[in-house]
Amino acid sequence: MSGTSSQFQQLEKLGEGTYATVYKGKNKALGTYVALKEINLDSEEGTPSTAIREISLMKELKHENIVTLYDVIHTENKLTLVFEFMDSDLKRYMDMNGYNSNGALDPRTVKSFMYQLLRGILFCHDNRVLHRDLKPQNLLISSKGQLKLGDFGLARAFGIPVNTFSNEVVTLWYRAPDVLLGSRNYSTSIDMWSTGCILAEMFTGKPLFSGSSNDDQLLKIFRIMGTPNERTWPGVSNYPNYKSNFTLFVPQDFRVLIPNIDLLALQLLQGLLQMRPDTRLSARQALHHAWFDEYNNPQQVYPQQQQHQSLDIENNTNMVQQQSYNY
Amino acid sequence: MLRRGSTRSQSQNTNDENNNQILRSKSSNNESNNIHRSNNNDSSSSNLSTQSSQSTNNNARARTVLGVVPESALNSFNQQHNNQNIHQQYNQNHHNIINNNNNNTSNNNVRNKIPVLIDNQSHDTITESPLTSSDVDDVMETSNINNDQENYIPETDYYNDYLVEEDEEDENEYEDDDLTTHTPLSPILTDSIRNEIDRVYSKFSRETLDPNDEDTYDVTMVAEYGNRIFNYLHSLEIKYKPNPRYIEEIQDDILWEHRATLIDWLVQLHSRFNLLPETLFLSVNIIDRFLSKNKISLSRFQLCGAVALFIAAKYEEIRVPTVSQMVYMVGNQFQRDAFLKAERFMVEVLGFEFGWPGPMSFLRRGSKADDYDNETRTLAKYFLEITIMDARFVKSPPSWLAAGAQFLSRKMLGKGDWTEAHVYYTGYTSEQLIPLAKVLEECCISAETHHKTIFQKYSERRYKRVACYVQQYLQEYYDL
Repeated sequence: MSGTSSQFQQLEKLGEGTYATVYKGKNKALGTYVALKEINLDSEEGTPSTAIREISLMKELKHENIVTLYDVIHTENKLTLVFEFMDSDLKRYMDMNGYNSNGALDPRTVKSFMYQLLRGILFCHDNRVLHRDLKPQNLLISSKGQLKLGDFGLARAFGIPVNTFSNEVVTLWYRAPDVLLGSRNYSTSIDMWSTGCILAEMFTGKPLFSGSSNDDQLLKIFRIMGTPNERTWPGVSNYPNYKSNFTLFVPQDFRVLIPNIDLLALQLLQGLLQMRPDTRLSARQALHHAWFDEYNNPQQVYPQQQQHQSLDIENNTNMVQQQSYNY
Repeated sequence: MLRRGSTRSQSQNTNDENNNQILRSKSSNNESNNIHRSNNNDSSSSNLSTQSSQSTNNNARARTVLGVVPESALNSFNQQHNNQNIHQQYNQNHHNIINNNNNNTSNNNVRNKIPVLIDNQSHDTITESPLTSSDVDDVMETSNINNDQENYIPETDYYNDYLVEEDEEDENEYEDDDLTTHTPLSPILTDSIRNEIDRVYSKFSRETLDPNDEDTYDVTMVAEYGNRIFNYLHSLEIKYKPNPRYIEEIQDDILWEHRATLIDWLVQLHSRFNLLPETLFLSVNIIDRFLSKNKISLSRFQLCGAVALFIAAKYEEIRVPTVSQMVYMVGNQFQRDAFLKAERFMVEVLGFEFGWPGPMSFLRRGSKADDYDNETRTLAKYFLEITIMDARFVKSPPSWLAAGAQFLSRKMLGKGDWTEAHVYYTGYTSEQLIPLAKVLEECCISAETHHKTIFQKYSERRYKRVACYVQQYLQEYYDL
């Protein structure tokens, strides 16, 4: 929490977010690179709540699939978060490495990224954090093919039961239908919808649902997923933004939209893109999906593939026994 | 069970005088004139002990909580505390509020109606501390520090931290004396308790989600993550534990009584902004952790409290009060720049770490064993909230406080024994909770002095007047 930005040489701008600008930085002493996220301290309301949450949560979330926060430099009018430097993000990666220049990734890469993405999300959810802004731009990619979750500016910790939250979350294209319908009672499933959208996008190189407004986004989703009704989604008509005169669409077959998807990946995609939040796969369930057998069962195929370590996704319930005497 | 003497309330008057003397040195500057001071001798219905007199006072008290109390009324209340017994004051305050409301209904006066902590309320501390005279000496001279082996032990020491106190507490057997000092309270853990918890866990824990449990299908309960998350929350409540002796070890200017006054005010502020309970608890944790690390002067203490609430709201709430509103609430004592500077300083001292879990999730978890009985939970919320007033709970784990509040709530409502399901969902056995329940009950016996604003708040209808229920219960039970 100390030091000044004089430790770092500010290099080119890497991106601009809603409340911050990110630069590449060089540690003058060590010669290593970092990402410097600069947040202007609005004199009106002091330290932004997004920054308070982001820093508080990032200090807790130490995981190989979550970008590391090294330091925070707090000055009179600026807050600089020093993150580990990552070469790219998934959006740029797709633009540059997608074959036939259409952005689509090869299935092996898709699977590896997807697996890492789910592990990062699982860690967040296990530690009672919702990311709430998963999209390709916020998934950072290293030159070694590692994927890490970044930008926790919209993230927040949740209690149990999950409190009512803001409805203004997640970039429109990756926003879950229940949130678009006005739900404020969402929980971990909000991140899983985004994950499904990202999976489809990695296969095709194009965003799956690219709406221009809340209503348009819903229509784009209905056009592919089918318009929900009380039979397919009990309780859907109780959502604030539900309209009984929604245009009726029948569900489309994903295989038409994503011709190169294999059967198991398709299954996973369908599990993630469930309209109903309560039937959407969780991160843990998704990681157990047969599509990931090569990672989950080391002796199986692809022995040359680097094993993803410490796969601690088992034993959901029994953990309590070890730790919970509370003193 | 829970049988305790009622010496506390009998010795109240002497306490007040003792405290009065001691605190006068720090708060002698309240010269505010008070028009009602002289005409307050009608104490005909001074009886706190009947339900009816309590409910008639509710309207007046509701206004207090909402902060529409004219400053003069507050001052007169404070002044009266010096001389009269609490039951009389109670009624007089009621009259004053009514009188003043007739006179001052215009909104322009709101500014003057906000209690300004240091100047106006320090007199409150005189009556707010339910200490016996010998205890006051303890507090003032901090002579009990040496007897206490408690240190600020790093989080890795999961059990030993609390085992240190086990001996201590066993020795004392929760004597009255022990309860009235500022000995920090924590759950005991013996081998037999540990075995009992182990046994219950192995009986109740299961590999898969329970298809017969409705929570399994409730997305807001995140059932799949429940156990892991609660494990994690338990580690966080230890990680973010304040130093329970910061007043004695770190601060020069501030006393525990000041803390109680500050938090009493914070409860009003919190109600007024309509914030979540989580925000109130987190504010108190922020204050305590900040004061564990940083010495501040009494004149900045209220600023610290307001900023803590502001930060907690930023972490917890969807809508946060504005800086202008906050500055206004501190009676415009501080410039907006000073307020923002204090915020910057506090977040920095705390390293931007605000992930303290608070008791609400734990309470809800424990409620599962009651089938989420609403009555039990509302009453438990009252018990839980009064813990923030009391120095003895500064380092108590919120999970323990939540379990203890639920335990006492069940006792008072006659909801039956503490079952194995309760042990499983709270993680505490009755043996660990009885001492805590006794202390909480003790706090309620002196509710008006121990937690005035919270008492008033929970005497309102929206909180089902549970505080009144508790008073009635205690009167009947102890024949007060």
